[in-house]
Amino acid sequence: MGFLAYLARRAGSALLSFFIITIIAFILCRVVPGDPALLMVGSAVNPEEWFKEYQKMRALLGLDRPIYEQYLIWLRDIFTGNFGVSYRFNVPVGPLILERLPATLELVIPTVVLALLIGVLLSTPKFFRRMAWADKLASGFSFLGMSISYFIWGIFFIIIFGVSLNVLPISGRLDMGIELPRITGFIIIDSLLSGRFEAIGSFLKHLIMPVAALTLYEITLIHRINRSSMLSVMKEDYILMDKAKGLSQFHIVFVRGLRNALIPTLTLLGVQFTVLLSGSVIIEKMFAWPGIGKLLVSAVTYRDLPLIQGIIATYCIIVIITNFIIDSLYGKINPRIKYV
Amino acid sequence: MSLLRVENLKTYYYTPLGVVRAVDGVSFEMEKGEILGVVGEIGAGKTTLGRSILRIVPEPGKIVDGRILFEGKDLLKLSESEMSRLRGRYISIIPETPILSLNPPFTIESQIKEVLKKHLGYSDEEARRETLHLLEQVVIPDREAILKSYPHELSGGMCQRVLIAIAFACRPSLVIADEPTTSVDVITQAQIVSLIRSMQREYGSSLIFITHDVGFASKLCRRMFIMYAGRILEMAPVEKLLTSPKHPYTKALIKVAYSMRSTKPTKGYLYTIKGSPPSPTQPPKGCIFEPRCEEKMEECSKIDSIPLFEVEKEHFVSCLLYR
Amino acid sequence: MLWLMLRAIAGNHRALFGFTILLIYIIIAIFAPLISAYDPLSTDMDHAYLPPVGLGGTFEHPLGTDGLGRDLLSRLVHSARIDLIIAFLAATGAAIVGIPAGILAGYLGGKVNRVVQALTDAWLSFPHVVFAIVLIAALGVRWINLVIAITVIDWTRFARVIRGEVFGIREKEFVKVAETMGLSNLLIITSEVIPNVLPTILVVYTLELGIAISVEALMSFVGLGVEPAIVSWGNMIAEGMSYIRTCWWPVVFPVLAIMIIILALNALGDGLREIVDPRTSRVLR
Repeated sequence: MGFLAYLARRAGSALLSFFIITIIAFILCRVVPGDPALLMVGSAVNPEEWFKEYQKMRALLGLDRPIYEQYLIWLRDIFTGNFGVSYRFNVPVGPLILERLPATLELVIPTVVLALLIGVLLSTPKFFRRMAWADKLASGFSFLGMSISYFIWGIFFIIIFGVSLNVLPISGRLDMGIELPRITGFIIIDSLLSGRFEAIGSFLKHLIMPVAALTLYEITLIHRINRSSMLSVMKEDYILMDKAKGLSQFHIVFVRGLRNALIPTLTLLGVQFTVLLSGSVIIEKMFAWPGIGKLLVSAVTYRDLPLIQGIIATYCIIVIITNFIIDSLYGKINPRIKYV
Repeated sequence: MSLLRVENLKTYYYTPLGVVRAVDGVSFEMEKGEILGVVGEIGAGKTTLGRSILRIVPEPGKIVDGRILFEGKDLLKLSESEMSRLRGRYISIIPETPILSLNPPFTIESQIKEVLKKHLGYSDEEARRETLHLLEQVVIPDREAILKSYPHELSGGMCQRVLIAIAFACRPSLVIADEPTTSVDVITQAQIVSLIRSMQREYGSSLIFITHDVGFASKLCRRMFIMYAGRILEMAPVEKLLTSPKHPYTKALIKVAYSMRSTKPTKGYLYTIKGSPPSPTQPPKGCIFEPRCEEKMEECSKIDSIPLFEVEKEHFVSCLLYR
Repeated sequence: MLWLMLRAIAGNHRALFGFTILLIYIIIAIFAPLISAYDPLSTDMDHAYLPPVGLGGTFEHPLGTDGLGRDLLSRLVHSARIDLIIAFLAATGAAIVGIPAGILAGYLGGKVNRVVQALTDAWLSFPHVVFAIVLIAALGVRWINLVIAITVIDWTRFARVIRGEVFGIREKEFVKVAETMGLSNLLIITSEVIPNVLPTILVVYTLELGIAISVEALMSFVGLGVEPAIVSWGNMIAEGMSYIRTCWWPVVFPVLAIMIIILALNALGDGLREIVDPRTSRVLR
């Protein structure tokens, strides 16, 4: 058994979560917004003709088939990237989403990295006698921060740094007038590739507030969970033994303790990641950040069904990929998982 | 000069329910190469005593008073970094809970090697060779495989052997064995005890053997002392303690041990000590054992902190009967 | 029971703080028409962008006015009504669905448990805001639909916590005893299980109130929450943000109102948890 069994198990659980998530997404796609065939038929002169037209449209959309078949077709469409054509932009949905996706990742990835680093770091002063003040500070911040969501941070930042002090831009990804050829869609990579380094500075200025708003909120959550899991780990016999072996407190906290404490924290991070995706929708809207969250809001406003479906599927894929990454990290950090 | 000299050591736990006086004025001395037994019931403060010597008493515990002279230096006066250079190098510990005492996400190899690297400055290659040698010493089969494994893949007995290897790795002057046999089964117990004994001889370390089992202690030690509710009640060479115990508690304890160990069928009769150990936060006034004592006198409940009286050479008793 | 709970709250600083503020908010919401001198919807373009008292404003409009000259204090206190109604309805809805699911899953185990667990896991693994946006897109922008959306999304919060709690209780002696005595499942659930999870329910409910208020703000901000014709904190923020460069107070006051009530509800929840949890409460006393 060993590694193979572990792989099989992981693939099994990944498959299960994949099905559940896609089924939810599918159901969501089916409930919005009402009957797509109805929307597309338009009006006809007499009811009988209209009904025929309507039936034809349903057959065309596959709505007359049994529900599980519809689900399978929907799945196939997702994986071939065939989401249809956006009503509003009149272009295929797949490329439209791919164009916006990098912007969302530009918000989400730095947030995860920063929040994890800072949140974990803030949970360590508790275990150094001389750093008691830092722990008090971090815990106080954490308690207040729990009640201040990314939404509120974002508004405060806009008012303070964007409007009153007027030091940071409050909308978009780049200053007006900076033209950047689109290569990968990630601004930093594109500006490095095309040699337009001035774009990086402008981009970072635009990035600070949205990322800070998301990060500050995530930090409090990671800090709380990691601190409490550190508290229980540091009471374990093996930590006492590590101390008895003569390891320094620094080594004990940052290597021996943290490695154990991160196991539950990582589990939380998986859950927390979807909260972060939620946050990115709001923050994108707030800072006019051209990602898929902002696209979703406008797609809903314009009742652009194919686009809504495509975005839901995209979120679904992001969640599945993240779960897989976290799962692999989890196996790396926790040797026990291989044989459980 | 003696190797270790503990004077009036007091370690208290400041719990929300009150102050627990886990070690309350313990003094003793031991020589180089000696094996000293510490015997007492669960909760008598033996483990805390052992941890106090290494200064690794967990929160909310605190060493509040006393001196611990190790090779003449007072350990309580050392800085934390000086102390960590001493731990695992000159004084080490074999814990009570082998399975819980190895850090789960680290391999056995790294957990043994790091002591050698940190304290003796070994290179990775040297440390590996010495690790294999140590595993041979503690009689572990299939050593290469064990090195690569993680703690949860090992049995309790195996973990204990690894921990013994770690404890003796740097040839320390003093090893504190804290009930090393409590959580392994009977057959392994005997193996572990004889292993500790042979390692101690091989490496020339002194040994403090903490146990609740008078039998084990008597087979291993030359001298031992009896702890009860944080205090030493009696200290003597093993034969004297077994043949002519003086303190009423020791007498009772040895009676209990004999009645348990005897192979004669005694028709369901087991000797027991009346009552239960005192409340840790509110110890009785006067002699700590007075409420359960069968030979108590009137002044026993009045005189606090009874000192150890020397009744014979090397035989001390903390009891007013021997004033 | 209620009296005991109130006494316990009075004895815990955090809980008392949170409870007092919640009570103040409720009173403000009930008496909103008496407190506010103006109709929250009546515009007065001659008095637009008036600053609050302390920044050059007058007591005629203590918190100033917004871009359409509407009195901010009136709007703020009237918003408390719809926000608290949404919060209590949504939390109650989520509780009504989630609590039975949690209790049955935890108590019966087996298939019921597996189904509930699969559902709660799935709910956890999809971004809630996206979920809510799509639901509102389907149902239409109305405040009652927001209540429905929050119920549909957040019932799992109750189910998850209660299920875990019931698992623990199930193993306790008194339940085992009741079982051996041959009591029916229904009787055991109502007489032994429910009284024991009640405190936890109260904690989750309190926290859910805060979450619902927060969701109202988010969703109204993106234009998919309370219909624009009704004044709510989220709508005030959404409108205010459109002219944030001109003046900031129309946004700041509703944000502060939300922050304070959420802080209070979190404090109340934390306090209740301390009161309820035997481990911490023993330390406290």
